[in-house]
Amino acid sequence: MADQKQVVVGYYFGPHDIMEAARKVKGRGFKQWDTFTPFPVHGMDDAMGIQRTKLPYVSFMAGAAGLSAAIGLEVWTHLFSWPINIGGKSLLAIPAYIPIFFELTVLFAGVTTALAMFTLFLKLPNYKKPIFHKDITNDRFAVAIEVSRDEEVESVKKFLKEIQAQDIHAVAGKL
Amino acid sequence: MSVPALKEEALVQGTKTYADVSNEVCLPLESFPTKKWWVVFLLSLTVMTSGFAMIGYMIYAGTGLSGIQQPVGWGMMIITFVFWIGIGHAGTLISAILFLFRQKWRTAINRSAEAMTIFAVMCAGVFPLIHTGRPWYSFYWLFPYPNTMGPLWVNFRSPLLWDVFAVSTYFTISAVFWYTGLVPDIATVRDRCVNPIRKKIYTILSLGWRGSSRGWSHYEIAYWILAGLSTPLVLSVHTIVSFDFAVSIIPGWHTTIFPPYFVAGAIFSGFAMVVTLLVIAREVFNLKEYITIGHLDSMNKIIVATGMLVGLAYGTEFFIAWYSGVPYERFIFVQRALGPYAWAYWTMITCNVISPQFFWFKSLRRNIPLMFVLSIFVNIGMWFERFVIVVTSLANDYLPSSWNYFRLSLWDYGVLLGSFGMFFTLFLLFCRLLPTISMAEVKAIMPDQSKTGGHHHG
Repeated sequence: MADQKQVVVGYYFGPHDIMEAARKVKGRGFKQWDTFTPFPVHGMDDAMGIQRTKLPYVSFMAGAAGLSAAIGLEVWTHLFSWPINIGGKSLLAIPAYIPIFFELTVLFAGVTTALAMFTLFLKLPNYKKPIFHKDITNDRFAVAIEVSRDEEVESVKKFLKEIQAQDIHAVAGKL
Repeated sequence: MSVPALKEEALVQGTKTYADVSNEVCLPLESFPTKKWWVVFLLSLTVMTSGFAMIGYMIYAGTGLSGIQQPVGWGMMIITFVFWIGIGHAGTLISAILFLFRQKWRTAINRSAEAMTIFAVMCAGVFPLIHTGRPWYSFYWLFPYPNTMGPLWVNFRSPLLWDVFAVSTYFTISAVFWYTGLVPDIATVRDRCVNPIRKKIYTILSLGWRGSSRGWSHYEIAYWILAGLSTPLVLSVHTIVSFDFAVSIIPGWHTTIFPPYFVAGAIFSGFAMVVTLLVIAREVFNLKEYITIGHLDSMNKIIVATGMLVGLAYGTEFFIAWYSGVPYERFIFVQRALGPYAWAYWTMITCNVISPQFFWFKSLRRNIPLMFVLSIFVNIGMWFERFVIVVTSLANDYLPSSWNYFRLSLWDYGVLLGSFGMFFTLFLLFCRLLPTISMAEVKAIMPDQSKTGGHHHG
């Protein structure tokens, strides 16, 4: 098998160690690599050089869309589609519209935030990606580096060994 | 943080490894249910099924089977709707508000509290549908959708419609928030599965989550945003439920104190329900080292605080009724305390204002049998609060010739009981099918188990 993509994986057992390892891996300037942890490790974004997510902009836009939808719905139905006098209430009763303005803003923003996070940002659901070890969701902290040439595998393994990763192994496929 | 703080109890007791957490939390999911579980489950299921059968017959025969009559047109259905919605509030308070305030003790209880929220809102949702009498029309009574009957739209200026939006948004956002929190834990369960069918199901539910740090980075921000959205949302929900009453001009309802009073009562009753459930769950599923006595202590503090708020609201209502000088308002409040429903009023005062006072004492806050009994008292009291509000204001209306003594019918009790059956059925299923403790979050607050590193706390 000539030059199929491979992933070299090594393991640690706590947040401190994986973060140290991530700093060193980042220092080596690999292109495709990631760490996998059972829970979010604080400071990992800096250690790995991960950019802050753009998700809040999506949430804001969704909230704005929800608010606009609520305004449009309430104003259009009461003023244009079916203007009906109920108990002498004004047709354009802004204070009475506010609860639904708020609820639809929250509904759109909340649902979109979760959907966008999973689908657009994390590209889930995706069941094809390799799970390197069954204990990554339990108590193992993995660092995984993708390499594209066979000869790189050994040098990356050696590097992982230098930074004290355990149970180092290579898996065919992409990260 | 290196700020010297008061000595704190460990949030997770004993010396546990990360794997211990997974093993102990997943144990109920991976072993055959015990006899005790089956007994309670089948009992709840029977009660739920009978409740639904009664609802079915009630809808077939008409809501006349319920105790409602003129002038008390809002009876069991509205009382119990408000009751269940209130129960839900503690879950969101724990999952969202305590999260924003960085209360780390919430990690052990947020999952089950959120589940409780969702199930409570589902129970609540049943009642307005029965209340409409003809639930098959509810869709166009309640939701604005383009139809061929029209132009025909709902009235957006009505508090009852605000309530439809508030409750449905609350349910949706709570479910989304809950599921978002569950995904990493479902992945843990997936990776432990031996049975291929189980593995398939949890794989699909996990969305293929792998614990990638690049993923966690987006995930955590999403969690913050959802918490930030849920916080005003939960306050808005019971506020809007209280508008159902406060926007009307019925004496005893038409007060500006209702929104904060309702929200405080909701959190009060919700925390009582969380204590009731967790006292049982930690015992049955052997989670005492996660849901510690310290957790229950903290919850009991919130119960006494919100109980005092509710007590203050009861007093303020009376004062304002007198101070306003409105004779109708005064009459209703005198009726509440001394009239035909005084028994309900004093039950409410006893359960809601007097019973939480025990929690001023640390030894009593940490007394499991006592807190279990008191939490049930609080729930009884909070149901009666809604009974008092709904019934006393309606029963003695502006036309004394229509006054009558309001009685709940057997059907009313059956439906109420049925909703408890539904709640416990769902909760018991949840305990068997999904991790009841957020493993990822609990592991994150445990001492670092790195082989070489210092003891950095997450």
